[in-house]
Amino acid sequence: MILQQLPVLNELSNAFPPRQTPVPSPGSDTQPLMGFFTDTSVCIGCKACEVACKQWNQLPSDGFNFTGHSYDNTRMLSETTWRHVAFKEKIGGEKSRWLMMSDVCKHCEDAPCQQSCPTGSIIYNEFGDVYVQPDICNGCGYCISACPFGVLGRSPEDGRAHKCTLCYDRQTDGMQPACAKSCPTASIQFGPVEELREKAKQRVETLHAQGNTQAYLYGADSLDGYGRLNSFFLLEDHPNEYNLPEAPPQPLHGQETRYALSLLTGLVLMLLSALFFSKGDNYAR
Amino acid sequence: MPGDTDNRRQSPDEQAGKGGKNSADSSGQEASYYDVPMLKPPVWQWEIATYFFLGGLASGAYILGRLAERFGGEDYREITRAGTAIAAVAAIPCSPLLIKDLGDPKRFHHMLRVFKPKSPMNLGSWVLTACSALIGLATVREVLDSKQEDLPTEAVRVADGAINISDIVGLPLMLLLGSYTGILLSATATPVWSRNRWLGPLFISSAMSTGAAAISLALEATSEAKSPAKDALQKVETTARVVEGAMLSGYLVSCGELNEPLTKGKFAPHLWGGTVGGGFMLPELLERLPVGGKVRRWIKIIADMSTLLGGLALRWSILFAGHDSANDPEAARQASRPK
Repeated sequence: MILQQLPVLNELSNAFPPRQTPVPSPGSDTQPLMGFFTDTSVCIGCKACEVACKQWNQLPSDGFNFTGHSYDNTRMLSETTWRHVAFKEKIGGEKSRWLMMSDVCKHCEDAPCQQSCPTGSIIYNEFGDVYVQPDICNGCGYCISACPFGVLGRSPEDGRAHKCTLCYDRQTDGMQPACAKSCPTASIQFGPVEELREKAKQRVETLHAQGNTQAYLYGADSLDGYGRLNSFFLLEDHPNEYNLPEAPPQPLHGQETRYALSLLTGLVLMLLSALFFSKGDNYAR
Repeated sequence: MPGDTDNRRQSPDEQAGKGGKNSADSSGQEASYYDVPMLKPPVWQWEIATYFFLGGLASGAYILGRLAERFGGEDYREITRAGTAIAAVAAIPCSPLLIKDLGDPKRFHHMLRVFKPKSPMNLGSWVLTACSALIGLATVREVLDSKQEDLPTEAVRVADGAINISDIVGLPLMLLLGSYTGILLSATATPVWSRNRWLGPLFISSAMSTGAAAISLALEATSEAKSPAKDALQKVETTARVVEGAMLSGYLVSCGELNEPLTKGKFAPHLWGGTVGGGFMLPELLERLPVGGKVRRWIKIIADMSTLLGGLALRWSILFAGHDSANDPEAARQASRPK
């Protein structure tokens, strides 16, 4: 095609290199849900996951930013950062310590981004992971506001929403995601979610037995009405310390009531207006 | 440049590590993460605020026009004519505004790729498409009606019949057009909008008040004479405004402290001065002034324009308050505390 040979068009389409959308394999009924268990108790804050993610997914740089508040200069997940190592320095109290956590898309079981997506671009793939189909997304930005974890961002380069794909491409080739592969302490573990949940519960028991009674699981079970996370965490302090919501709202729940109340208000106003039009003085006659 | 978005800019509080108020952590300090935003701000800008206003205006004007014809009879036909024309003028820029807002505008048609009513934006796209068609039909019918003498009576009668039958689905669709925008905002994690039940009712009542004001403005601008249509519209306007005021109060109260970006932030002047002052108080005051004749007409015109600006200020302030609200990690922490 002559159009594809135009350098401008090539550049435009390569802002984010085209990724092949893998075709779900037949017989995926037997495919278990795949997810992450991020155990922050062994995270050393090396950021190998951040680097591996950027490299494998060919994500552009975020520039040299210096926050000045900790070793975390990435600050948050975004359209170009799909793994982010949070680094909280806790000075004072009984003992000073560091909290480190490799944050990622939570791949929610009941995902607001997937439900709000008006184009059907965001789907659950055959691994049960929440995936933005880059060939469908038109950059409306609804998922960005719907996500209670602030995971998604819209790229100024191609105008579309991007987030962790849980290395869909690697998974279809039987490989584990780049971040999990690169993690030197097995803080990031990848596998069938059910197995990971069992493993994680045992890990909490072990930690409790060792005297680390603060350890608990975040998102392995439902979070105060918000469904489970297929990418869940073991934390050692209040979720807000890691910039995670304590009980994330599921904004798309309860819509039926909101529609009903709106239509009711509209109907009452319509009835009153109809009354004013029918009972008016016809003095013009 | 990637990463040069709103929330990447550091707030002065961030370095100080100013914390939350309630949830203390194990060491007794406030649990927070250097006041880095927890949420992403909406990507929606002026295009969306303007669309919210115009979509509401089109819906209100159309509904009132249809009701006037159905329940008012011949004396009120001028409301239908003006209402249809206003709905048409307001609806024309809607789709272009929405398309301009997209990150990838050439894919605008992907909105209608699926029917997914669970997503308010998808439902809204279908509703806007259907409503645009209805407004188009009503406009064609008004044009045919105005040229009755030159046309065969069948053509006019077919158009009249079509528009009358369409009301069964048309009026509920128009109610959705005026209110789904509020429901769309409430289906986000943005603290000042999230799961709020008052936003939809607020937007539909504002749609009715601005629709009535725009029709009244058109009638005043085209004729000086008093008419029953103008009197009835005045009552409609006041009723819608009272309901709108009640819904706005309910909204602000239900938000609690989370309403601060709206009531005290940069956009507070838009809300208090524009919507409450310009949209509610000024028009009600002006319409009660004991003056008559030519002055009265001009006062009415000013009151109607003020109502319209108030409706625009309402959408504007609520949309942009959402940006500040999402960028405020303390608000996000507060909104996500267990109930």
